[in-house]
Amino acid sequence: MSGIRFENVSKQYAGAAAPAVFDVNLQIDEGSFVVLLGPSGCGKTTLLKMVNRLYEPTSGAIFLNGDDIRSLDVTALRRRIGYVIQQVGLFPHMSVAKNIAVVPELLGWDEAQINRRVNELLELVNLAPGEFCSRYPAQLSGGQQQRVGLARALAADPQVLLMDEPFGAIDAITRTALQDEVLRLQRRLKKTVLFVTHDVEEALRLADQIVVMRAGRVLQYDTPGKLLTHPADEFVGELLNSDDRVRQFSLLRVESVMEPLAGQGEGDAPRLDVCDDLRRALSLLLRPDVQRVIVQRDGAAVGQVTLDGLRSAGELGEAWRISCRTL
Amino acid sequence: MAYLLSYPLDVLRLLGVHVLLTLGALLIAALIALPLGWLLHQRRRLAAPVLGALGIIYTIPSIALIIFMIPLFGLNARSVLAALILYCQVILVRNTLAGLDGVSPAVLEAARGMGMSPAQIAFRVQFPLALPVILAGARIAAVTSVAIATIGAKFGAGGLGVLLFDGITQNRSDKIVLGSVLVGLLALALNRGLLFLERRLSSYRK
Repeated sequence: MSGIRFENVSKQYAGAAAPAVFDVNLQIDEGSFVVLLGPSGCGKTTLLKMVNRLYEPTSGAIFLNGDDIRSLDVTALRRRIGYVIQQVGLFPHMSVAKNIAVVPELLGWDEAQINRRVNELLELVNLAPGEFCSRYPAQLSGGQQQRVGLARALAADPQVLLMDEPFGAIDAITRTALQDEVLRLQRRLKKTVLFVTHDVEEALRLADQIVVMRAGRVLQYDTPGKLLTHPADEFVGELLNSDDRVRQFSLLRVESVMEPLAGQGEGDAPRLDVCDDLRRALSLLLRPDVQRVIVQRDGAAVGQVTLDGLRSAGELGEAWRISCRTL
Repeated sequence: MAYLLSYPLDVLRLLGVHVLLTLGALLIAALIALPLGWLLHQRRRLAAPVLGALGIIYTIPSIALIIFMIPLFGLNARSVLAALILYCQVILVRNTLAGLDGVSPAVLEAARGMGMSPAQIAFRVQFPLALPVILAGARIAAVTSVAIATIGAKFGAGGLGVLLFDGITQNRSDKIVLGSVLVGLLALALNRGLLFLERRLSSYRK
């Protein structure tokens, strides 16, 4: 059994009236990007921090690749798990290179191997090694710091990455860039990512699966598409604003509602790529003289999208999710 | 000046003893204060009573404190050393604690989350980050020790105090002036040296 499994996990803080996490059962598949979403105080961070044993569950068990994490040495467990937090927590007295090298050093890698790894990781997070290696955290912007934080978490090539609102303190433009970065990295490195956020947009953008939590309980564990089209209850529906068709469209690619090209040539109809989202198709279709949008793959027309086609999109359920985002 | 020129080696020896006494006290005090400060940081509840007790010791006048040490260590340099160590404790422990408190919780969480053991966190993260604050305490402790160590001469500990007390009993103002100037210069030099170290070690703050 790979990935992370939660079995009847509960956490009761001493002196708290209600449990922070109550009877959670989840299977996080290996290589998937799972977002824990919910309002503050819903227990999402507590759930996350039980995976690297910063908190211990009051009852229940958590398994990493089939092993009960309590049976593993706690420092060894943590060195196998990448950990990224909102405040970054870079070591201010160490250079960027030293920060990234922390876990490899703890694991006793030799110096040449560490240096190679540091350079590789800096390039991976789009920071030029020559420029950044010897800088100190105080000399970096917030976005750059979190890139280093990400590189540091990936240093020893962990299978699992835990991210606790990593972009919560970062401005909107940089945040979008970092989200793209994380998605690109995850697609490439196939890490199992558990990502905490209270930002619905962020969750929809990043997640393969979303765990919606409230008051310590899991309300729904589903794909973004399912959550938008089939919310389990009113709370989930409201949280995700499921009635908002335009938002749904921004997550759905044109390919999913594409119809076969109807005979009459392509004319001067606007064109979109199969990977573009339906929101763009909609704004094109709302222009006065546009009847249809031609969908093309690698430059060749493969289908078309019409307003009627868009109307039927709500029924799609499973076909959701822009998987071929330009990453 | 005349005295210095006629007996340079004697003066140098007294200065050497004074430096030894001060730095020795500081070093031993640090060896006690650093672990003690760390312990108080881990066990918060102990902090108030321990700092309170050390504060009370600090208020005892230096001559009285040295006299208290005589039954334990005899009428010699060891009593003076012990008193100096006790004086340094308050300053060093308080600054160690403040330095450790100043380490951001996020940094500590990252360190734990990355799989550092408590000892690795202490030596690789907490103390390096607390060091500038600890050194600031060491500066104050050093300067205080230089001053109090002069009294040590009365108890057979030697040091620059010998010049002062001899000067008074022999009515030799040249000795008094020389002793005072050297004590002052020593304090300034130690302060400078430690300040330099402190700045060097916190250069990463931009």
